[in-house]
Amino acid sequence: MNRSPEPPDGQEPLPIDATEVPDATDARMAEFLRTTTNGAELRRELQRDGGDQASDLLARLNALDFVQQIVGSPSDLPTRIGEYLVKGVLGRGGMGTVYLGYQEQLEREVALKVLAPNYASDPTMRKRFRAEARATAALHHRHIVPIYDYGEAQGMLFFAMERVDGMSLDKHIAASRRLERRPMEPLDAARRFAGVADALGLAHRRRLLHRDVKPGNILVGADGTLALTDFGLAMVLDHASMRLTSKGGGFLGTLHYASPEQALGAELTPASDLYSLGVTMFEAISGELPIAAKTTEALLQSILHGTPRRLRDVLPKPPRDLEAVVDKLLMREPGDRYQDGEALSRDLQRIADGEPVHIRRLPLYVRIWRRMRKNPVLSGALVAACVLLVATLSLANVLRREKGQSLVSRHQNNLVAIARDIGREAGPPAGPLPLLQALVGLPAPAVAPSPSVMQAIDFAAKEVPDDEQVSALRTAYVEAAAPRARAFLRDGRGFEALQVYEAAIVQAVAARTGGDLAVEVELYGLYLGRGIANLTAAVARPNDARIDLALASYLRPGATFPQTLLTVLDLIDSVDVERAAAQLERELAAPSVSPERVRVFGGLLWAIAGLEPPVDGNLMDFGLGYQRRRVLHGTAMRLLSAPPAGWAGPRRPTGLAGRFASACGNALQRLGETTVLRELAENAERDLGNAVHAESPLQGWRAVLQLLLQSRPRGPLVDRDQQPLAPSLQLAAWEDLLSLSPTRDMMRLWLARFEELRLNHPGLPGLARVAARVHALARSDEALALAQQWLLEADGDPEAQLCRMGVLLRAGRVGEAMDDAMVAVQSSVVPAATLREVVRTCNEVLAETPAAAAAPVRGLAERFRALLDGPQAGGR
Amino acid sequence: MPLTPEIAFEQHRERLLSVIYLRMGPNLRVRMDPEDVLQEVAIEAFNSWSTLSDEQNAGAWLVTLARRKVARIVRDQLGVAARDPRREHAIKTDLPLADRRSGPVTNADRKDRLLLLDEALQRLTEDHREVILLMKIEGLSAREVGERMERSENAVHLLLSRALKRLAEELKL
Repeated sequence: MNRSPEPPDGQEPLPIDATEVPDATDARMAEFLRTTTNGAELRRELQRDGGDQASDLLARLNALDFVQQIVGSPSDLPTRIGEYLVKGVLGRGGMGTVYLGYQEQLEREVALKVLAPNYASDPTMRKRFRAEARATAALHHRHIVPIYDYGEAQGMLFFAMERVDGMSLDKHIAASRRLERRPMEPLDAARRFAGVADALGLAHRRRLLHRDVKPGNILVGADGTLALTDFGLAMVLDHASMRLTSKGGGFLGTLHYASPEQALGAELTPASDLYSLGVTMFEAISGELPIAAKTTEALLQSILHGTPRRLRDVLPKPPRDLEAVVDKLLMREPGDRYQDGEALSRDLQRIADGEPVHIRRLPLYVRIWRRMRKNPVLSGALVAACVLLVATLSLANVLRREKGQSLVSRHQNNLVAIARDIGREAGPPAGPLPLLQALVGLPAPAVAPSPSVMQAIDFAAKEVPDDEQVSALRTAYVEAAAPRARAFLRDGRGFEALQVYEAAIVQAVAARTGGDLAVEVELYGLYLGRGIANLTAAVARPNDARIDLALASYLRPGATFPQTLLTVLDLIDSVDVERAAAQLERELAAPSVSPERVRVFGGLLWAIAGLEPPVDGNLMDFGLGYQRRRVLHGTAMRLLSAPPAGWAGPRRPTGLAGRFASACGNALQRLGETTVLRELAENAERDLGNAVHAESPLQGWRAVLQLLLQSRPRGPLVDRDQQPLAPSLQLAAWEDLLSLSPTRDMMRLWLARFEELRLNHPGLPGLARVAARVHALARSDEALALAQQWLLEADGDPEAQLCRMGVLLRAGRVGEAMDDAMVAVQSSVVPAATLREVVRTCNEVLAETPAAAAAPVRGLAERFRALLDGPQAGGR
Repeated sequence: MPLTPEIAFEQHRERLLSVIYLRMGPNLRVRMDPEDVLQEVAIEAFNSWSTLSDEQNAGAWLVTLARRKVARIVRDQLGVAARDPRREHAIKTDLPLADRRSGPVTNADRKDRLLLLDEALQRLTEDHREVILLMKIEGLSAREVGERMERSENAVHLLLSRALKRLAEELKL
């Protein structure tokens, strides 16, 4: 620090000459200070002079200017703006300054709002400003500050408004806060804001939104009346004042009063203005904000996801009706708020007059439900709070029993209890567990509804017999959501189930008024059911399933079932499948997860892995690589104490697919019997049309039937209308055909058609697998090359190894075939099954091989059969 | 046209805020926003407007209200009656206090300048600081300042002259 020799601070002022001997410069500066306040002349003089003294003096002048600039001076005011004489400053804000102006011709005072120069310089802003000023000038209302005039002068954009003798509401609120007084008495506030609400109503009818309702834009007149000002100005300045300026930047406008949709930058409606008015009223009544946060980010977060405080949180005894009005204004969903200012105004006026108000409020249990929904993490704490609330209410009820109100409020308690229990219960009410079991092919025991929920419902039903709400809730909770859909789903007819669910959802959504808990519970079940239907082979739309599960999860925050199912779907797609699997295992290891659920999800993974076929599953094929399937299988085995069903021979289609397979199998047996075939085809066609989604791979069966019906030598596989099928569906059809184990001769007959597909669509996913198997079966010359191709792409799938083994064996390359067989068995997740497959292939080849050449093959078969029978390979 | 308290207040707003800001000092500013104190002064001014004898003196009257307000806050907040809060905490003045600079752009610049000035003033001697505050911030006349500081008017001007030199050095002007 650059300290000059100065005397120490002292209380006693020392005679100046004793400590500081003024030099000539000091004296000159002092003289200047004594005589004049305008430094411009001295400055010019000094700049001419140069020299040490001059620069010293200049520095002192600069210091003086610095200080004077900070203090400012009243002489900064412009003397005139347009035809108005400026007499003072009324206020300053982000948008500009409000001057007190005087219109000489009319001899009246006006408030002149002058836009800050940075706004006024933008031509589009000028245009909008003009348009908005015109629209606002047309609004005549006692509670809107009238605009007299707008204009441009000296590059300034301004408008002249009525001069309201008073101050803005924000100043009034700040002042009261300082004095630790409440800004307004509640009933007084109701009366005063009724006018503002009516004014907003008028503007809204004229299709004019205020967009920036806040205390700063409401003037308090001398008689206490409130008047809105700055109509639509936010629209003019929106990009500057109402948005977050940039990442981490400050919010220039007033986020505190912004509705959730406004904070999001979404489209505004009259209800948005009413939300802002609600915040303003809250503050005017209590002196506090309903949502307060320290940082902009936290505030934004609270507006979007938090729950506003209620008047009772900040005031000892707010009038109940008024609190209800404010609550309603602060609803997050615009549709839940007042829809027009007039209705609000009427209610406020009635409150002020001491008349009862009938506000359509959401019932308590729905509000609790929604709160839980908003924040699943908090819902646990909320449930605890509910328990406390219910306990308190019950006690209060006992005390109030005689007062006649008790039945009603006790009934509400019951509903609260039910809502609480349903929300808390981790599992699905009745349906989806068995549904998922049906999907996977597990035996489905009936799952009893949660006893605690049932107890609550029964209790409520006893208390209030014949109550519609309670019985609707019971139906929604206990009884199957869309029983017909469930029946379809159990039968593997996912597409039909999907359609039933869809119709039911449309109906429930239409019936949903936002206040019916039973409908929400029902919707939960419907979305969950549709999600599962989307995972069936007949539909196979996993992305739609995700959406449904997310919706279900949203509707019932306590339920973890949809979330776990979502985790499984994520696992299927996950890049790091091992980590995702570990995550799922952790999720299922939670103590709240029932063993039944662990078993079902284990079965699901097991079925998705598809390494061992379930007895009768309807699950879609996710087309996963072998290594991924291995991980899923491993996870499934850890979750399941025992595999759901044993190996039942080669993989066969099950469920609906199984039925198509058997129909086509029949057709294959009776190839050439046209009438029978046609009948089979027609039956299957009905199913395919009605029971299978148009894009499901199961549609491939249709082509198989066409193929069997009309043995054309060439051309793509076609649908009923003889139109070529999508290549992926054609490939699915060929794979279906392979699953029917056609003979070598049949395959040779069709080979040319397959080759057309293979050569025209070389990049088709899964093509190598199908091609290798088709050619192996047809014993074509290319069989070995294609088997090798598959092996390269097979990700270690033992089936590919076995395929090449068969080809090699038929070529007489027994040694190499044996190597393949060994690798296949060793890499297999289920070695015994692979061994059996090796032996089966050997026997097949033996049957085709002339006796003279059979010996080596027979030897191989013997060795593997011995392995299969041996004690060490028998088990898994 | 009569002078209303709102107009008077707005006319002197910047000056009043500067008085409050500088008189509060950094330690007190951490506890209370000078803008809030300014609001309180405004309310007091509105409430006691009738006691103002001459509209010509509105500025000085408001400054007095602001000074008293700060003095009361110092007493309430620090429990130190009638003592200058700066001296209590003058040692800490090098600490940066720039984290209150949010808000509208228009205010930020002025606040930055106020902060700069405050920090520079802290490094001056009490006499120098006081003469700048009294004359150039609070707007007292040389005679009034002389009475307070027990100096002649000439001496006050000389003192201010030297104080400005020191201030220029601190502000590196």
